[in-house]
Formats: sequence, structure tokens, C-alpha cells
Amino acid sequence: MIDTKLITRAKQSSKEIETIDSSWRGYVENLRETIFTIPFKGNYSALIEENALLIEGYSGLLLIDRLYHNKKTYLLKTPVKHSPFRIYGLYDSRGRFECFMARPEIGFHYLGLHNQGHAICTGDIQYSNPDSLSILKEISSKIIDSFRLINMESLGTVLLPNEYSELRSILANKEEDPKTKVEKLLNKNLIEEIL
Amino acid sequence: MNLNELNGKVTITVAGEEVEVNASDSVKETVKRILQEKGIDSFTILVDGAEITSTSDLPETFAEHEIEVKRYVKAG
Repeated sequence: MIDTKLITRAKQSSKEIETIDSSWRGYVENLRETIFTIPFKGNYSALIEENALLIEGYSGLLLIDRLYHNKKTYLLKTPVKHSPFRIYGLYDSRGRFECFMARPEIGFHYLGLHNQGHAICTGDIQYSNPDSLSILKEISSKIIDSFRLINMESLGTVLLPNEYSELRSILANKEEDPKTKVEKLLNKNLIEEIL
Repeated sequence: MNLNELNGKVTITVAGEEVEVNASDSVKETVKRILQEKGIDSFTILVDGAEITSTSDLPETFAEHEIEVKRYVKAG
């Protein structure tokens, strides 16, 4: 940026310096708006989607094979599987953590729509701010583990591919309570009680 | 075979704690009772180190099997 002393000393008639200064200010402002602050260093994969930076915390198999309702755990007769499934930490352009997201979005524990899609509901998982790659990976590992269980007591937005349409139509039905849904799943032989 | 097994007892692990059970007892009923007593309702069962994926993977009794029950953290 042009030194302010230079501007003070410059003759009023010298519009050239003011123009250059204005141009620099605009350039710096533009940089501030478009440049991402990297929240932490490390050997990781990342995506940039609009104004957000998504840093990969997990890449591998998604397995959903159990369901919890009314103090009982059930096994899915046909588990939901998808690979590769990725969990990301979403950071704003200033490097501040906002939420966890998944690509593709498959599962039962998502919150409402965020700018970049559905945020993951982390439920009972305790975690500190993911301000390092190791913490991000540790939390992502807990999330993928907890995703295995469909928690009927806090079922979020249900996002399932068409191949699981039967399971999806029962679980995504907002008109029915969890008890009715579980009964339907049992009647259709889609789940069995673990014990 | 250890001394416990000679006595007809085996040790299983439930949420990190060791619990002694009769080797000839029903796995299903015994584990169900222990989990109720401990207030554990969200869990996974490992038989000989492998997680069960179907109720048919559950052995009838504890004899000659290593059983572990892990507490499960719920999402959502």
C-alpha cells in the first residue's frame, strides 16, 4: 500500500497517486475476501466449495448395520454400505470450524440444510475444536463409528440412495412415530433384535 | 483351558469390566440380564474377536468362546 506520508506530501492536484492507492486498496480487499485461511498445516485432502474449506477427516467404508429404539438394539438384515465415504470438517474462509459434513450424504443423523449441504449431527460424541489434523481425524473416526447405529430417538434427516428405498420410505416418514416405524421394519423382516 | 474353565466358569468382558459366568449358560439370556443390570442398552457383541452381524452368529453357550460386549455411542 502507498505510504500515507507520500500521500500527505503529494500535491492535491496529483490524482495519479490517489488512483494508484485506491487501486491497491481494492486489490488488498479483494484478496481478503477471496483468500482462504488454512486452519492448520498437514498432509490432507481438501475441497473448496463456495466460501468454505472442507478438510477430509475420514475416507473409507460407511457401514450402517444397527438400530436403537426404546432400550433395544437391532441388527439390519441388509446393512447400508458405501465406499468411499468421506467425512469432512467444514471451515469458513477465516479458518474457523463450523461443522462436519459428508460426501456423499448418506445416513440418518444429519441436521437441516447448511450452505454446503447437511451438517452432521454428532449427538453424544464429545469433542474439542478440531484445530489440528489429528483431532479432526480422531473425531471423524468417532463419527463414522457412531453412524453405524440408527438412533430412533433422535433420527435426523434421512439420506439414503435408491437401493435402500424400502428402508428409506419407512424411516423418512414424518407422519409416523418411532414405535410404528420399528414395528414396520420388524414386520418386513428388515431388522432383528440383537438379543 | 484355565482353572475357571475347569470349574465350569468363564470370564466375559462387558463395557471394559470382567464378569464371571457359567460356561454352560445361554449367551443370549445371560448377556441380556447383565446388560439390563448395568443399564447398557446400546452395544455391540464380539464373539472370538469378531463383531456379530446377525443373531445367528451368537453361540448357544459361553463354552469355548471369547465373548465381549462393548458399549456403543449413539449418533444423532
